[in-house]
Amino acid sequence: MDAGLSVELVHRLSHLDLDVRLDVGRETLALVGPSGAGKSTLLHAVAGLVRPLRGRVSNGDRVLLDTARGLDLSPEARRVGLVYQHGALFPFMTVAGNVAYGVRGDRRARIRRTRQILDRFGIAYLAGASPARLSGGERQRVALARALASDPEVLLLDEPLSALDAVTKAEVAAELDLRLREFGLPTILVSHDFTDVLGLAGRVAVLQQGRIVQTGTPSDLVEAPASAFVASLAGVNYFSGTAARHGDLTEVRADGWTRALVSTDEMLGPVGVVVYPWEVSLAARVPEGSALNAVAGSVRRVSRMGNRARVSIEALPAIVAEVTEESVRSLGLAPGAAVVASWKATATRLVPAAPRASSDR
Amino acid sequence: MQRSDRVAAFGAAAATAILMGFVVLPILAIFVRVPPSALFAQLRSHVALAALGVSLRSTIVALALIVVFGTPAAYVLATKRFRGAGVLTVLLELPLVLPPAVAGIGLFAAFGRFGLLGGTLRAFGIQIPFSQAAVVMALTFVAMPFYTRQAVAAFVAMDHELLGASRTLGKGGAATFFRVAVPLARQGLSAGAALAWARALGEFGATILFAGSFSGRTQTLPLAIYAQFSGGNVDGALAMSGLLVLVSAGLLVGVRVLVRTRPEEATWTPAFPSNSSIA
Repeated sequence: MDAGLSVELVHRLSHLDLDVRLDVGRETLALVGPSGAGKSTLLHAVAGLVRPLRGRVSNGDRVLLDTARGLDLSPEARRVGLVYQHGALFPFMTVAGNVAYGVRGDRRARIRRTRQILDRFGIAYLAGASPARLSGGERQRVALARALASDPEVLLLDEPLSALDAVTKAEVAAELDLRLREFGLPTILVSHDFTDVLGLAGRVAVLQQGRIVQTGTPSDLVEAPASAFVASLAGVNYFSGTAARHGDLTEVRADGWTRALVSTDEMLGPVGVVVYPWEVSLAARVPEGSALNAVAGSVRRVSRMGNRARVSIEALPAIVAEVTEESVRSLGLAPGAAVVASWKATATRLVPAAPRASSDR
Repeated sequence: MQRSDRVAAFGAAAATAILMGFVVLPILAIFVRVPPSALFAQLRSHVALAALGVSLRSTIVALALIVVFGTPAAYVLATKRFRGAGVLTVLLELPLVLPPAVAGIGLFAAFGRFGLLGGTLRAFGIQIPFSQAAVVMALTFVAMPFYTRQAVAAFVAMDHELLGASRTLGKGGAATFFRVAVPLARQGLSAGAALAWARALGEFGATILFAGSFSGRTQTLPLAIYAQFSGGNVDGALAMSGLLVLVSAGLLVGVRVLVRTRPEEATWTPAFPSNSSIA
């Protein structure tokens, strides 16, 4: 990709080695991984706030960093905008002062541009307010406006949604989506929560222990996670097993399972098994039907999300089901309750087995 | 149990009362010994006015030097990681624990007529000891760490994300220092400056050794108090002491007020209508 951001970094941190290659066109790439995976360090290295051991960062024809050639542009020369998780607004300036801070040009041009940005982001009514008095959503909006007011050529967002409550999160995400489309910059959005980036990012790169283990569209990751780790981030069930043909169906077995899982996919040998939580039904006893997979166990945890609930079931293999609030009530699902999880053979998706990554836990 | 609690509470109250008495009594005594009218009369004396002038001039110049040199130094020590930073921090704090007399001798040994740099300075026709420059140097040396300590602490306590934000918004290191770091640390910096000023106002040992005590030239208020006292004019010494107490107490109150200032109060708004509605 010659237009867009290209990042190659090797860096040593106290707890892990970061070794990453990323290409971001005029799109939003989400970088997802648990805390401590090296996400923020990567952003800081792209912004020029951290000097990596080795690496090259370029945006189009502009080279921002090339350690092999001893080239390292300072952060202020890179034109890389960075939005922090809590906004990092200057507390001793008003909202207008914050937005005006990075605007280029003479005094007249700066005032005009600042006013224009404030209007465009719908925050003109906050111009004279102090950052301390803003709500979480307002703070994020001002932080984004401030970053974009300085006309960056690349945008980095460090967990912009994770400090917000659910309602505010949805509002800010909608606004963010609008702005990212409008400005069309190569953008890296860092998040520890896969669901936060759905709808915002066209592609997702999963960072685990300093390395990118899978890159793809959000649905790629849900449909064919490359590892149990990616699957757990994407919120789907993932098992490793060995597949064998059995008539028209495929049977997958693994050590410790009470019985084989049945799939309509055709595959042999070591495989990954993906089962979507929303395709798993729960019942008090084993339901009728021939091609059904059924696993008996006990409820470990019930977490509600709106009118749906995710139910974690202690069984072999352990499985997560997503059911309606009504099923939770009618089946009396509470920690410890006995339950049978079942799903169709067509809902048992087989994907190539994950290569045994050394960092896989 | 309850009984021992009561005894402990009584003991703590008694300790506090005794301590307060010990601190307040000498200060009170200064003002009780000399009636206000006599105090003002003494203050109009030539010696007192000259000493006040020397003290104000030299402490203000010393404070300016401390702030101009100490602020960037403290910022570097607080934000940059480099080999020897710890050693530098300790060296900068050394005057804090050094007896002032030792500081005065040290300055003399470095900048005196036959000191380390004495020959070089003489070649340029500069003679430092027993001049107003010597007073300023003694005050700067002794009071500097009171400022830099506070300044380093204030810069360390800054939210470093704000510095990163400033850099990514296109501002260089120097602009970030002046426009973000200094405003963020301003409470700590002001408190440190007030403490350093108070320390400089009270300086005695280093000044008398390195600058001498010449009325109108190098005799600061503390030196004048000593001169009056040893010359038998106890009332004059008391009057000047009262003056120093008032100035120092004023500084202390000033520090308290500064530290209590609301940090979130906004100080700069460009010319925008603050209540324009959204289009």
